[in-house]
Amino acid sequence: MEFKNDLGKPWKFEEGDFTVVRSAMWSPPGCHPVGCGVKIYVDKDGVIDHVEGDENNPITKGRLCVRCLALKDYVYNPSRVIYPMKRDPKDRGKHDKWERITWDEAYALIKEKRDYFRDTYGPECMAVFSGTGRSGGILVADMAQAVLGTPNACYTQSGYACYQPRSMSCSHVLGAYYPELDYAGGLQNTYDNPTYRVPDVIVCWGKMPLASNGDGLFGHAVIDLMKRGSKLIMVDPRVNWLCTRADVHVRLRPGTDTAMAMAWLSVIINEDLYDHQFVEYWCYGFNEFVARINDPEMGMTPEKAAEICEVPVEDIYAAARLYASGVSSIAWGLAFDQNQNGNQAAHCVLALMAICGNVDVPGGQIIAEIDAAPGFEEGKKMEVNLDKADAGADGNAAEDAARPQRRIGWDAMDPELRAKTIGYAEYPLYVDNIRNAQADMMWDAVVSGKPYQIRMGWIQSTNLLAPSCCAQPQGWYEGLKNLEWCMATDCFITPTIEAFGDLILPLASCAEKDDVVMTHYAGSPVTLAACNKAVDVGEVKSDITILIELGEYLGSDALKNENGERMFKDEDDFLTQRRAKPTGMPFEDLRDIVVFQRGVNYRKYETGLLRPDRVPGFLTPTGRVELWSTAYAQYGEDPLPYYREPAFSPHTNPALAEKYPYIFTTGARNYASFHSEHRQIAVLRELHPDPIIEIHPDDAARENIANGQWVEVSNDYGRAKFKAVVSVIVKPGTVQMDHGWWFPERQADDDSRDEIIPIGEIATFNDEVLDIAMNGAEIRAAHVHSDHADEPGLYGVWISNVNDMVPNHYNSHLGYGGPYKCNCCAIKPLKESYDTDMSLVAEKFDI
Amino acid sequence: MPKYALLIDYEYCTGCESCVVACKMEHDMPIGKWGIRVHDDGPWQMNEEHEGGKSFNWNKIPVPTDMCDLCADRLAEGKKPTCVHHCLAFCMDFGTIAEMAAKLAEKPKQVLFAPCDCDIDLPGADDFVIPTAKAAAGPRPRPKMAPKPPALRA
Repeated sequence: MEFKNDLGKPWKFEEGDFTVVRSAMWSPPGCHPVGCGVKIYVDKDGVIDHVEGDENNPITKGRLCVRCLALKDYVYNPSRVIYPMKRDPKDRGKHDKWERITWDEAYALIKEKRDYFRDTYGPECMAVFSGTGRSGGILVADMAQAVLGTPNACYTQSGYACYQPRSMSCSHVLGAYYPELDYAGGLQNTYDNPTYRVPDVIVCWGKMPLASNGDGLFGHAVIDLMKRGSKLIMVDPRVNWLCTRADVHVRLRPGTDTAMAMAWLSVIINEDLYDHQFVEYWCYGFNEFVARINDPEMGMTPEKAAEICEVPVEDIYAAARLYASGVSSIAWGLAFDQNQNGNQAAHCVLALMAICGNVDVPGGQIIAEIDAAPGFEEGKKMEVNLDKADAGADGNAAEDAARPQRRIGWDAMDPELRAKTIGYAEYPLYVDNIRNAQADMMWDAVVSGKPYQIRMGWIQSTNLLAPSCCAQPQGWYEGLKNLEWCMATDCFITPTIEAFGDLILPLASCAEKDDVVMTHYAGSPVTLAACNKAVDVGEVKSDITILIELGEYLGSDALKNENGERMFKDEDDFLTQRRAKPTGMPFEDLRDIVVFQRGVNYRKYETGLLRPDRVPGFLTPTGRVELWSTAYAQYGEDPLPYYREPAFSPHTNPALAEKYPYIFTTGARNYASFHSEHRQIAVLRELHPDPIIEIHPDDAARENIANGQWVEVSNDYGRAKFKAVVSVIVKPGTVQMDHGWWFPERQADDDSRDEIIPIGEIATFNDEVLDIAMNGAEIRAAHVHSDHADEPGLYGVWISNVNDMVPNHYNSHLGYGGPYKCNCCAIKPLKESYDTDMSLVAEKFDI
Repeated sequence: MPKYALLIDYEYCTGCESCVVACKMEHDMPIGKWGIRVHDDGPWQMNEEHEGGKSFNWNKIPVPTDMCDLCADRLAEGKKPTCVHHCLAFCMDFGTIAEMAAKLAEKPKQVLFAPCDCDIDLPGADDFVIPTAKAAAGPRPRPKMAPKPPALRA
């Protein structure tokens, strides 16, 4: 039977009483840049009636996840902030003290404060704190360096344990952008395009892409490919749903990924299953790499890995051989980042992709090309500044190479001021690569005031007190209370903004602004798509508009062009200059077509398209994939991979294991929320009302825990409550806990706060473990003394705060990674129930 | 009479719940009411010997409730039911019972639901016909009752 559809309709069309706007989604509400196609149905009063999936989108083809289906309930949520509001700093924590003001008043207040702190203490005393992967969040460096004039932009997660550890490894080992699973998104007719081939094997390694759509990979493309014949290898401690459809599932012990990857390399090298031509033409240091893999001490065999990872050795052989059997593609995830040994795991996975010839081939790993350096001419040799030209996440390697001043703010900044970035001395690679203060060093700065005190803050697209990113958020809470003034940009009063915010600027959602969605932050050749404004709500503004307007109001030179004029006229002009560029068209034209498929040039290392100087090869100092990494060597890291046991594993410290016998992991995603967002959307909350812990039936029996019973989980750093799901989804001895929880239906001055044990009293059991010298710095464990008894519970943000059990400073030598997925805990059953009262949620957030 | 059916390929249902929320938004259903819900069976281990792939059972199956009207308003406009339109795994299909039954025979791990009567005529609805024995024989005659049992002794 044939049904009606809207294929071929323009970006805006009429249907009955509705105006329908076709658009592509990013954030807010929070998500990664997939750019799922939506049709927003707007009624005659300019109000959203409902949202449907747009069948014109080449990748999502009409499909849509629950979060966009419920967009209306987000846009018109009664608790949403739609006007600028201020509050006296003495009233922090009190929800009834917010006072509506105008944008002019807000900008004037920011200027007054910015000028005062800059002139009194120096600009570095200001910091902008941001969260993950959102359209506004990736502007954090620009907000800090170009708008406020401070070097201190900071994504506050310990070791930037989300994406950047992988991305850094890509730019320095591979010399290219992040190599993503090729799901044909950039090709016309996608899977049916004749230049494409379906991968023989897909590996999901430490990644469950269906719910996460990490970094813009449309997760359900994996299902599309399975239907077209791809086999599946899953490397994951949990039996997630995809594992039940996999040919091989390697259930490794959390945190042992590097050992597993080295074992695959051992099988593939020693059974001669690799691509000799690729190795000969395009790899650097293969012999040294092989020597390391086969080294009796530092190397790895499948047998040794089987013991470390606690898996049957035949599974390792089966996985490695299946991976090497054809064109294979690896979707690799957060497990690489949330691990102190993750840089080495990433190194190994990049080596697997390279030596098996899967880099930049159809059905393998795709990479976006890098523009030619400005002034490049065919046949003319040109010198480029390769020091600045790393293929980092900001997608501007070509311009970095030829015109390092381009990075507004950072490169224009006085080098003396830039050198004051928190953590620059200790972790230069990290800070240079991301233009961010190192997160763990920033934690030290806010809790200790050293090397200097942070006095003014900007909470930008992050709810850092909720267990969304920060390690030891209680410590962050204590430290950030010392901020003398703090502004925020968000759609809701989060616990973080309630705790410290003195001014909130209301952000526009995707329905209320123009934007460009760059799949994989433009690092993959997939799509660039227009987010098209559909409605007006209150006085909200987009992050980009705030950047332009506030930058001008503050007189920021970094946002002026050569003639001293405003660099970006307005939102659409910013999008044309900064985000729509690979389309070769202004935003206004992209809006009309909604989605631009970038096309894919495969094997670009043969044609020079991976380098701004157009020399064949990769963008590394040697021009090859550096199996022996010159960058790691330069920054004091081992140039070859090695396995390192997780700091909190039972093998590292048996005494600790006796006290805290369970390995815990956190961070698994679900469909109903994006990290700490969406808890106030009743229809989504209903899908996943309570924070859960997954525990094996044997362990549940030992601890007297029934399915559905509430439990308290603890270690030396903190404790948290969860509702038990007793299931064989986890291995015996391992538990998995939800992250991102707070309870917006509770009160700002909720009394849950007094249940918290003051930090410091609990962090003293084993000084050997906690005060360990690492990374050339002394670990300052959570010795923050405080009496919290009288303080507000901030919408229950401390009740199920799993991140309170994760310490800072357990990073790699380069400052990356943190122990979010390989930590330890004890569990005890509770008598009380903390089940969410859904009728309260429905009543409070009914629209 | 049921005329249309939902065909669900539960080899690929990932439990994303797009059908659940799309339905609630379409019908403006409050908390605690649903037109379709995802039945969740697993994971449990089929073979204790091995856990390394295809050894756990985990099937998720969307099941329409008694409040499912197959999106009659959408059908009247010629559109597919919203659950089928939004399914992230493209594992739901909709059509006449005859058409869906033909697809059911094409692969295993599928299930067919005819949740309610529907008298809407859609173009192409009569292209597939399965003649049933019941239809050929006409209405079934009323069966004879069993003889009345003797009274029980106290």
